[in-house]
Amino acid sequence: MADVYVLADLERGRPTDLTFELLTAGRALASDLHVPLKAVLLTNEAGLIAPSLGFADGVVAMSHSSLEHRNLEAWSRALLKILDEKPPKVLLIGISNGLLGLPSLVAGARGLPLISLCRSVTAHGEEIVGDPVLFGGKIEAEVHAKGGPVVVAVRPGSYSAEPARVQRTVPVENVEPPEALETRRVHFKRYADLEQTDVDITHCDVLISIGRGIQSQENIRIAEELSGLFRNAAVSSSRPLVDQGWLPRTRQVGRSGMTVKPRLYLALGISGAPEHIEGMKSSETIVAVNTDPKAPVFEYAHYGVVADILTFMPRLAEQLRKRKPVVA
Amino acid sequence: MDVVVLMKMVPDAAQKIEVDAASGQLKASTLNLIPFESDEHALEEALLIKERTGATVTVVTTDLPGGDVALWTALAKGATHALLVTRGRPYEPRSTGELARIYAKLLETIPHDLVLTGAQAPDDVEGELGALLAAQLGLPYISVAVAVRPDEGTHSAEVTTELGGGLRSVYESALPLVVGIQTSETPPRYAPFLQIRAAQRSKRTRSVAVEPVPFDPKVEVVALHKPVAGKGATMLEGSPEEVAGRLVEILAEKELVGG
Amino acid sequence: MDLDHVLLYPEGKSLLTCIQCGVCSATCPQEAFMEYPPRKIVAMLKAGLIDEVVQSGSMLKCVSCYSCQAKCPRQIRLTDLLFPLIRGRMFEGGGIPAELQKAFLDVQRYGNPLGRSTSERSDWVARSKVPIRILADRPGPVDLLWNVECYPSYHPRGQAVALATARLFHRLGLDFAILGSEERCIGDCAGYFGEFGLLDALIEQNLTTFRKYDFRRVVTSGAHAFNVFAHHYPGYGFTTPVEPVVGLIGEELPKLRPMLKTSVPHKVTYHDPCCLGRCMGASALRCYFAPPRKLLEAIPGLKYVEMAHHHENSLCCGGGGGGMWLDTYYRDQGMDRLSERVVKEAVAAGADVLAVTCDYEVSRFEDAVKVLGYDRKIVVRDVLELLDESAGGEAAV
Repeated sequence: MADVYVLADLERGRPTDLTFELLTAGRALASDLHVPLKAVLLTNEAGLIAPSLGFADGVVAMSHSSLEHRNLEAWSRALLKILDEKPPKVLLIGISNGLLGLPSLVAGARGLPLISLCRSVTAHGEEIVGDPVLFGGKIEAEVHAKGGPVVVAVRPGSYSAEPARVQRTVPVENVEPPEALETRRVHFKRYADLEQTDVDITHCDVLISIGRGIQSQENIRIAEELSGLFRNAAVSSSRPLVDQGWLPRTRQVGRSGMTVKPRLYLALGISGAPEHIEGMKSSETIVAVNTDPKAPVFEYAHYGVVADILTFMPRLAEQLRKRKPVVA
Repeated sequence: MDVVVLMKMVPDAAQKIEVDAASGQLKASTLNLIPFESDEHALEEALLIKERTGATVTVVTTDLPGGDVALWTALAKGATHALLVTRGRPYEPRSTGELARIYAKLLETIPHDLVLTGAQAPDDVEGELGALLAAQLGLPYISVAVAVRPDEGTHSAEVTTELGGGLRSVYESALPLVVGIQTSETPPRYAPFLQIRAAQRSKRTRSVAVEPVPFDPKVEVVALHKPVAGKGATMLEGSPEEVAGRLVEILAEKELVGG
Repeated sequence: MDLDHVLLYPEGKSLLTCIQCGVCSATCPQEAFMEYPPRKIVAMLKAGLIDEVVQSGSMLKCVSCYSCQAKCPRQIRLTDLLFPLIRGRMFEGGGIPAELQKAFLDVQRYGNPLGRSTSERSDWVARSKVPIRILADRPGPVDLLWNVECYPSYHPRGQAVALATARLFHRLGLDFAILGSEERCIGDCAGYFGEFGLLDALIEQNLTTFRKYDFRRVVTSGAHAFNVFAHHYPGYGFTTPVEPVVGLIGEELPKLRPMLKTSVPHKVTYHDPCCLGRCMGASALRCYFAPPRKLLEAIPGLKYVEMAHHHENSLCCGGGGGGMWLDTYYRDQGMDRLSERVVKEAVAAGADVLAVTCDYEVSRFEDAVKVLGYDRKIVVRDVLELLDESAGGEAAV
């Protein structure tokens, strides 16, 4: 067998968006290699989840109580048994917080080639090629791996999840759990929700960030409405608004506030003082709207609009309402 | 309780990182190496454990430029021992696998109940140090930790990890255990310069030579390059309606909004 | 130096001469927010209650404005010796807010508190229309070594001042050069917060760099740097004359005056920075109260107005002694910002331009203007920017 495997990332028993992103990646790779694409499902009750992975040609599943929650020790022992019994050509694992380290544990234990931090993965003949992004995006690499199975760790947000959201009955191959699961030393105890009185802007996918251009406290409502049109979004701001008491300190982006890296940072009426830039410059996509075409924020933005945000925000909201909110 | 902190020197992303066009490798002469930020958090977590339990904290790094300063700083902050592993090789981004083997060898000779290191470094082309090391040593591994609470009596530790979106999960593990630290419970402390110099003069940093570890890299870094990026924003022009429409199309292409 | 040993030194012993008159507390702009104001701190130290003072955090609120020291009838060195010593002790307990710690770490690592790359330090030079010599590229004797300092090198508003300064130097035909990427922080926040080891390391490093080059005098864009040059560098054997830019340009006024042709029709007030006034203490010759005012009054069309607090009674901007990196801490403590008080005073004086000469202040006061919502009432300009504008700005070089 020389399939392309994609490990399903699960949170509280549901496949995460990252799972579907990787299935999309895996499909392209499987086509190049002319092999089937299979989802690997580690959980306590595989039968319930398998149909949601219908984009794959099949599911390789292992069910055991220790696999219910992501547990690096249990999951690596389970994966190793699957790799030993049914070795694939490539195993793709998404770098979610819950799975970070798993590719290394598996590759390290069996001496397998591993390419980590990848945005994409392709096949060049027999070689698997990954393109890790290093040093906070300052350097890109091209890494080749021979032999196999090759383990590839893929960053979130690199592929589209949408095409892979296919619900259907798929063939499931069950693999017996290894005895090593009984002697594991790490035990999942509980989930703990953070005691939070406010949203954590460092974990938002989209930030609608407002500055002095918002002009008055009641206008913040317009930004809140805009934020409501995205998924996992919140309103954040530059320091002057927080100092004026218009927003709580928890929403402040910048050197003396939070450092954020959302997928979309919409800087509205923010001129871009260096202290602010420091807290948001690593955002994936930065869109800046400001009346001043010379505002420094435009040097760091990917897209810029010269406009009064009070005119622009309602127009943007109007356009957004025509679409449904999607965020990985 | 013996806590070992593994620190890795990485190029400072705040400074310029240059690629030599001819060789496709990093220009060593322009690199500024600093301790990896999450490793600093690992050290802080270790120092908090020391303050709570009286554990000894041993900090380890390799003899890359700046490694000695990192150890003096760790001593100034309160680490018990500092070990400089002599390797005599310049920095290269693909070295974590070899480093894991070197540290695995080293840990055979020093007591360790807890091994702490940063969860994910910016040069982890071939995986994370903590996980690769745990695989080498056959020890359990927990990653993205934000709190580590060892219990000497039961010889176990409770580890809280950060799943994102305000969700955390809590694990319990037998010791010895390797933990990848995301952030420490309190921000890394500042070491005043005089204390760093005092640590330097105290000669408490010990050099250890580890036998060369045979290592056969399974992957090949073919080329490094700077990302192609234009400076400055693409300005969207037109009436507010047109611009808003165009922007939403761009966001849709990036799957930030639906179709 | 350690606080416990301070009384072993003659200057430390002067502490014991305190007569508890209370002028220090009365003149302190932050007194209302301190658990222990200056007078009480001295009394507690005399009573051996050092730990109580350190733990109270009162000293985090001192912005090294020198008001107490300048007015102390016993001339006790509160601002530049005693308070930094107390703060030096705070590093042990971890009581230092994260933003300030980061500034120190950035100075250790990059030689500037903004955390920017050393190699980018002279990037602004590329935007200059007048030639700026960098000594590493073109060594050889030079009259003036221009110490640009951190904010003028890295902060966009500071860079605008640096560019204006270069144009003025060029117009005056001065022979000047900069250190470019070899320049490092002169040591203000380290020295006045009590990070003495870092100050020591910076001075040693800077003097090593200075020794590589042949220059006759130093001119600095940093008011705080000037203060550190004046008070700390001589102790390391550095005796080359140092002047702040505004002092040097003031001397050149006869030559500059005919070039000031463009009218600047604004009502302008001037904020005396602590470091060019009060900090110079008894050495009144080194106070720079007059030069900036003379320079402003030489600008055609400009009407000068005075704020309520000026000269030695000037209100501090709140950026000294580490205050530059404690604004969020202060706000969280429910404190008013001194920078906002100054801006309010400037507006009350009827000014539509607040002129400054301290490298921290353009961005500090602009921030205060934003927070107060005074964008349409007043703008913040460096004295050198106003002079440059009157001399025709970028178009006229």
